Amino acid sequence: MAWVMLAVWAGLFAALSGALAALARHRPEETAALAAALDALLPQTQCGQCEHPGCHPYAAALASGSAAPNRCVPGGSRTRDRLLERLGIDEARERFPAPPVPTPTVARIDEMRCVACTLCLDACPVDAIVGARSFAHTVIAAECTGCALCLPVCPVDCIVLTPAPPLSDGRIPGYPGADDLASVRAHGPH
Amino acid sequence: MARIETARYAPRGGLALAPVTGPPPAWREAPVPPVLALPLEQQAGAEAIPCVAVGDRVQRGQCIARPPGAWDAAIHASSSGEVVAIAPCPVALHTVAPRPCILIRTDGADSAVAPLPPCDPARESRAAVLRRLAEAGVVGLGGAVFSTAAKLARADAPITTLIVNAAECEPHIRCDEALLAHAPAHIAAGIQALAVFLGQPEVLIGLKETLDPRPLAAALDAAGSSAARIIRVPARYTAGAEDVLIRLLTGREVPRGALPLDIGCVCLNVATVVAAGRALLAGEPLTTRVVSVSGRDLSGSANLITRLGTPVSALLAACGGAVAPGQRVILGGPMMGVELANTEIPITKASQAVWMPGAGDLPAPGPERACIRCGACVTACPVNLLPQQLHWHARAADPEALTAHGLEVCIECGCCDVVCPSQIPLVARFRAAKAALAEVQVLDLRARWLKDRFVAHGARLDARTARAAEETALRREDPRARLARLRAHRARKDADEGSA
Ligand code: SF4
Ligand code: SF4
Ligand code: SF4
Ligand code: SF4
Ligand code: SF4
Repeated sequence: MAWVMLAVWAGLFAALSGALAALARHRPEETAALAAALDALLPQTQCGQCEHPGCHPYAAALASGSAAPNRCVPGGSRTRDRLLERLGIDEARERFPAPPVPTPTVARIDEMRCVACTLCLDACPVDAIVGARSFAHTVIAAECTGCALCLPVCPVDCIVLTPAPPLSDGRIPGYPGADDLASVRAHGPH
Repeated sequence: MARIETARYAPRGGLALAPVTGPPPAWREAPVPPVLALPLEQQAGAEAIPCVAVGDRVQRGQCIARPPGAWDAAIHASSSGEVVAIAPCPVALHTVAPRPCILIRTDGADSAVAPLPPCDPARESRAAVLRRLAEAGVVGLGGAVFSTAAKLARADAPITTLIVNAAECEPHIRCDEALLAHAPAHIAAGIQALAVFLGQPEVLIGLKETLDPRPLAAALDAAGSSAARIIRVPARYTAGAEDVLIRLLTGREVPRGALPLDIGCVCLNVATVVAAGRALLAGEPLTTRVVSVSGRDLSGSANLITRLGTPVSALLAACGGAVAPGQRVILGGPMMGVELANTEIPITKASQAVWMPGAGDLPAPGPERACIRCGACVTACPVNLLPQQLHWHARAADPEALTAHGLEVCIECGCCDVVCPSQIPLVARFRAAKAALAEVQVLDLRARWLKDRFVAHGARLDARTARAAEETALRREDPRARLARLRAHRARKDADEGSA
């Protein structure tokens, strides 16, 4: 039995390194273009849960063949499938089980406890926190991705994650194209 | 004399549904209920922001909430009274769910605010007319509730054809029929006003062939719109869907992903035309709509002029009906209506009919069997889709294939469902697939937006670092060098002033 398992693992390893090595043969400019294309498939929360310091670094690692395509946690199976397709790795879903997508959350600052140190402002990769020195800080819920990067920097631990409101109606305030999407959906077929 | 013709183009797909027989429904006003519930979301895609507070006294026609967009339709109090709450209440909009409502306890006086001054499209600017339509809360009353001002404001190219939709194709929905019989002059006046606004386009009125065209023809002549053509269309289900009607009347096809405006057409329901006419000519905001009430256990079916916000139960009571246990109540018609578990749901601008089906109506579907590829659904589909293929791809949850097969074109009419011998709940699947596809679109849009924010965040931090480096460099500058630099600066400034 053990040798069967060994053979299976060896086979998997060979297939994986084959796929990754095929990618690594790209020339640098091709790798950069591939990284940009892969980056466009990622959720852009910049959360670092893929163990890369953001989406683009993960895309670059994928493009150079040094990362597996199932590491993006917020993206789940949808992002994994898209990455596999773009990378041209067929029939590989079983080899790369997708991480379970966690329930969406948003951060909330307990404004009564905030000491207005401004540390969380720079920690938030998408500038979803408003505040200034000696003013209580707060999170703009519609812009927060729940990436939790602001939590560890807070000296008084006054930031918590709470369940996110639904992202359903397609209106992302102020983003060009958002109204088009909402109105197409609203106008519908009638 | 306005010309009366028969549609030259044949309908595609659709169903010949059994017509509703019996005497024409009564026509009267529904009583003002003790409490009105006006949902803030009465227009597709935009929630209005209340401009009254709890405790305020309001009068009929007073604006109580205004959506954010310039051409979005306002919401008005539909009778006088006191605002008692602004809170979530169950509302039927695609599905029944709690949505924020303004609740008004009516005082019985039904006093009204003074109407707005008339806004004659022959004299006022385009923007003034559109603003009036939005201020008066005019939306598509055929069920789509898209803001009429927004619809007309989207037109870049000139509109060559104004289509008035009186094809009313779903059984048990007879509110347009009632307007044609009882308010032809209002329809004609609305058509006249809109035709002037749109620069006298060709006017085509798509009228269901079982309805009498003569009152409308006479009213059009009296209003001076005798160039309008009344075109009788088959009493066939989905003849009243916008794209289908345009094809029936003009032979023109709305391309996929385009709007009727892109082929020079604007299509408005008769009730919308009346509301637009009243808003422009009489300065009257939209506070009522006609609702068809029919079905079992009623003393008679009726078309009721109903205050928006009236609960469904009050309409049933006004027709002598009480809901027996087990009796189903449908808001809308048998094909596209939603079943209500609770009859305290308010009538909104989208509610066309309340129907209590009898025992044999709306049988529950049998067990679902496998698709036998009979193609019946393809023949029935009025918008040329391949429902069996869509079904296949919906099961596989394949967004690309669903998009390629035109899922977003599906009007959810249910024709494919009705004809499917395997009793596959096709429309329910398509609705779920559309929701899933929309979710993906939202996530993609959000990813682009987050990327922009992340880039801006990086630029902000970089700029701050650069500024800090500059300041440090200045602080560390040798005092003599600084003096020399300031002197040189001064000398340059003096030289500049000297030469000026
Ligand atoms: S886990 Fe996904 S979203 Fe988070 S940084 Fe990595 S690629 Fe981006
Ligand atoms: S506020 Fe916190 S959790 Fe939200 S996006 Fe910013 S860093 Fe992430
Ligand atoms: S890090 Fe914590 S204490 Fe500091 S500003 Fe942010 S929320 Fe307030
Ligand atoms: S529900 Fe959609 S697919 Fe089915 S017949 Fe109607 S438009 Fe065609
Ligand atoms: S009607 Fe039903 S069984 Fe026939 S092809 Fe369509 S989905 Fe299949």
